[in-house]
Amino acid sequence: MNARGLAGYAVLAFPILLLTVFILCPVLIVTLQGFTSGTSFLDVVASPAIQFTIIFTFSQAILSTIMAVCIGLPGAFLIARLRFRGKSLVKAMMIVPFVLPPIVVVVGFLQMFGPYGVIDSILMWIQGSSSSVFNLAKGVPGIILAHTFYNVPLVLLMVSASLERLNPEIEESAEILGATPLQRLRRITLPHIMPSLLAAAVLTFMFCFMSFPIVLAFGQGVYLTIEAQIYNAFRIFDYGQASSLTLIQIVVTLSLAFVYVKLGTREDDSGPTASIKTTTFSRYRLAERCLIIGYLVLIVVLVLGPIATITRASVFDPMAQTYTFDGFTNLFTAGSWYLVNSLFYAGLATMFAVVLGVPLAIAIRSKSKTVPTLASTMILLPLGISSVTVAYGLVLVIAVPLGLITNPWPIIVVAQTIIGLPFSARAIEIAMSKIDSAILEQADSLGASRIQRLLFVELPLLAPGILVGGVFAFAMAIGEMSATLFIALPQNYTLAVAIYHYLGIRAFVEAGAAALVLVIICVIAFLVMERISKGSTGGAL
Amino acid sequence: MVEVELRGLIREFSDGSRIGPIDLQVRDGEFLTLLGPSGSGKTTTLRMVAGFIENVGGSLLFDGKDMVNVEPRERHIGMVFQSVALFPNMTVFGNISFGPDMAGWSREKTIERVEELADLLGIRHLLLRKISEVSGGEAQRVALARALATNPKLLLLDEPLSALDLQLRERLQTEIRRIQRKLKITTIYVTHSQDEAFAISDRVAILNDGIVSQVGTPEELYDSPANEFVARFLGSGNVFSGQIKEVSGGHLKVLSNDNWFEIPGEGEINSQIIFSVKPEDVIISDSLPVDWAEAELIAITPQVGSFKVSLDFNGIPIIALTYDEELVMRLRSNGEKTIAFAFKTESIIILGN
Repeated sequence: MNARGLAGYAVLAFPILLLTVFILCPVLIVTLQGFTSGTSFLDVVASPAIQFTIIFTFSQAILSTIMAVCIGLPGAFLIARLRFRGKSLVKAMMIVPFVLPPIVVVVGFLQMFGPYGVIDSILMWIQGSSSSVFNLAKGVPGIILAHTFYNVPLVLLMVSASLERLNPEIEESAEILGATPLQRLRRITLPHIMPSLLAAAVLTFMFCFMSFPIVLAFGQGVYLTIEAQIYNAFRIFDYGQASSLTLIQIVVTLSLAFVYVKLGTREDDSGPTASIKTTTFSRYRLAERCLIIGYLVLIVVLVLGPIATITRASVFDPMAQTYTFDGFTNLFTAGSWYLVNSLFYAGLATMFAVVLGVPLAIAIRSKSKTVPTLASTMILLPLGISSVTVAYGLVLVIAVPLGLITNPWPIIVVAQTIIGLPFSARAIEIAMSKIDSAILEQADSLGASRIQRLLFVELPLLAPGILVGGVFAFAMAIGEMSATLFIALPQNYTLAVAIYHYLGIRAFVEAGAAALVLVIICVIAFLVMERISKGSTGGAL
Repeated sequence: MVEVELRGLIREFSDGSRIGPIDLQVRDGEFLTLLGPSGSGKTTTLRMVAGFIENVGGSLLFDGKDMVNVEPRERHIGMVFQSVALFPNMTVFGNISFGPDMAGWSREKTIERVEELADLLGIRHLLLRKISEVSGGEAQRVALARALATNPKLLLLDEPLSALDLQLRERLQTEIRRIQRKLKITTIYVTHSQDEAFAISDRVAILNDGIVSQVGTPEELYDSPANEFVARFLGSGNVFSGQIKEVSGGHLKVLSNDNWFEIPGEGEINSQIIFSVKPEDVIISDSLPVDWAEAELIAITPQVGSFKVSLDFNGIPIIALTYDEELVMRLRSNGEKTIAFAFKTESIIILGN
């Protein structure tokens, strides 16, 4: 191997090495340690409380997935088949929930479905009651609804994209061969969208399976996911329980990730992209129009409602039932540190996520046999491993030996980098795959050296992808709550963690104000992404 | 089978453009091709016959019965699409048996029919393959078998061969024609290739800008184009325009491109005239006779049995055919650029004015 090849390998190996140090080692050490101390694996599995948690984790994830698919599927057909003004805007807006931090969604849900929320206020007015009559934002319904909110757009986008790839002549072939609309759906359309529908369902299940902030907020300490129970176990220093649960969770998430990747490769076999046949609203029959309008109302209440009502949450105090600006006043005086912390940590994390994302993306696309597999596994790890476990590993293996325990802010930055990295690396990798290799060969044939080619050709072409990746990583980092909540001491609180604490002490307007600030930051991030990538951010998922 | 009549069929698009009114009759068992440049409305017309797009005016008659309000699946049509559009989630057998399945045929009858068609098209060995495992030419045969499975009364083909290479395309053309003759099924075929249309059809309808320009057998179209568009589109004629300067006893003296031509026909002095001369009716000479016109020699292309000579007549391209090998040798060897040409007077076709 010559010197240049060696340098190349060093650049590619660097991020993989860092990830090994900051994820693999801490998680392995913590997990192994757990099996030698505290409750044993068998005792953990035999405990009725843990069994309940495991069963609840699975059943709520299954139920949420079914809900998301049932509500998302009709919307996917509408998006694909209905022609209307502002369609691209609606599709772009669907991405907003992905960048919204879960704890913000909790605030929105409380305001929409909770006591003295929008729906409750209307019902109270109708019934002439002065106390709350309606509350869906707690317990199992709250958890399921919030998960549905998160994943309906996912199902909608993935399935409608697949529908748009269906060659309209295939459906016409079936039609002219005598198939009724129902037969066409069953024999042609459903088989076509099945891989992407399954992929969306697997992703949804995975998100719900690992759900943390929503369960913590709505579960009332009774209904817990495995992830939330891991958090509890660490807090009572039961490492045995935490490790056992982590192991169970990793086995499940890695199997799901494997299924997802398999589904993804099958999807690529589908036929060429063709323009889909669309109809205008006026072409539908009256009954169909009523169904469509009913569906849109449901989507507005369920998906748009919680986002829109965050504004009300920031100024309406449900305890006193008055409108007030105290939330903002308190947030920007006593709580101004939260915003500074959030921006500082997320900004640093974004920088690292981009700097590491570029070589990782190059590694994924490299031609060698082992390097791409290694790199993509490293990227997927943070998505599959409980972020609470990662946080605990970082505290124990990095922070304690380095004496960072009194002010662990660097550990927060590391955790947020790890959370954002999959998104930045993926966006950069997509941008790389779009570069025409002929352009690079052209640069070679004009005598550019490898460094010149990278600096003057590849990086400028990659710039939009790198920006999108950076913004995505930023949105993930600033909204991150699980790991940050675990690591942060009061002086390290970010906005997301602050919201959780405000909710805990029933300071609802302060929580609302903080949530609104986060929403504004995330929406700006989303607009920037839209602007740069001109509507192709869907691919970054 | 079925006789198809398009009577004043009109389709309007949201951008204001429109196709039609189209008047066209397809006889029972006839192979008719819609030929025209892209955007001329061939596919739109075919899709109106299939029922995939609605017409805003006119009627569509199958054996005298109006089909406009009949669903596509009830029109008894077999159709082969441009993209082939085989069902990727089924085998070749599943594709061909889809129509019979939908029609509720018994299993035995379906299998018998699929095997019959597979033998007819020579794809029996492919029946159990997945769609991703058949080649382009095989896919076309499967699509044709699928379209024919339920014995449709009318077969529609929308540029089915445009994605194939030339050799395969010619082989499949003859195969489609053979099967159509054997089954005597009324067929409407869409193509933008003149060679394909002329090789395969009983009659050809030439479409221009949403209107049928001329309908006829390939020979009729070639020998007597009805208008300038057909002459130019078929490339069979060199098209000239000029001004009539003298009329005498069934002969006109026409001034075109600063040269005089004598044309048999009637007309008024000082009016414009457009006429066409087929390449084989253009005579060329290197000896520059006095009353012949002169043009610049651009290229000589050897063809089967003849030479195609391209000329530039003061900016107007002219194609001439010659069988005179010695003339071609002389032209090639002495590098002569200027050449004289004249028309066989009796074969000039007047296209209008």
